[in-house]
Amino acid sequence: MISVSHANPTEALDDHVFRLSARARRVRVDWESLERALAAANDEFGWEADFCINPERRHVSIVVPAANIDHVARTTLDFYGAVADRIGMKEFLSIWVDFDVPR
Amino acid sequence: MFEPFEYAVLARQLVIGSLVAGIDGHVTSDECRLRAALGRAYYALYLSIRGVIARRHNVPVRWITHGALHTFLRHSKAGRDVQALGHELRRLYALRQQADYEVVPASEWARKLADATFVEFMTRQAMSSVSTLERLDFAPVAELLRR
Repeated sequence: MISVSHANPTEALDDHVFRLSARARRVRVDWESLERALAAANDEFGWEADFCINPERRHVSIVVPAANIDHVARTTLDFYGAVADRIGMKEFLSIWVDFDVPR
Repeated sequence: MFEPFEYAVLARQLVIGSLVAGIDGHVTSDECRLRAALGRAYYALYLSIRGVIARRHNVPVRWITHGALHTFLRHSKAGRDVQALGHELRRLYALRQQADYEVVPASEWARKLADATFVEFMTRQAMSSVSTLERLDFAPVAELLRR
């Protein structure tokens, strides 16, 4: 499942763990293409993950089933490459990708 | 020579083990172990990459600083697989910063830093990234570091 969330309008986006350079923040990302790229890579690598995209933060949270963390760990770099191949490497590097496991 | 991959093994040990011995009446919490594990996972990857570049391309290690490395790994001259590695290194660097410095983290981070499954996942990712290094071409990155 892929969901989209949005930052609070008053949120200080620069004061965040995953800070990006001003240059990175100027890279234009087609968020719908990113959605499709993540879905395709999720299928290609069998991650069975859920994704939450926050365009204002330029952040993607990937929630991985605990039973799948070993497989995801072994294919993380290949997954990145597959997404970058679809949306562009410059665009991929201008966003943060973070992981989580269900609570 | 010390093998940085041992730090990744230590990270896994910290996640799955416990430190029950008290020292002068002090004991460590699970969160303490997990925070240390995140730091060791990052250093396993950073030092492994640094070692490969230094060894293969004769770049002095003092030139291969944290920021320079994850910046140049993501440079457009670096090649797709190395850029993906740079993206991963930068992510683990941010996690290590949280683990080592944020003694009062935001709630989302507080939860992650105390979650053994999450930290185990991060250490496995670091170990997996280390396993890819021998087949990657770091020559463009070495050239950038020499400038």
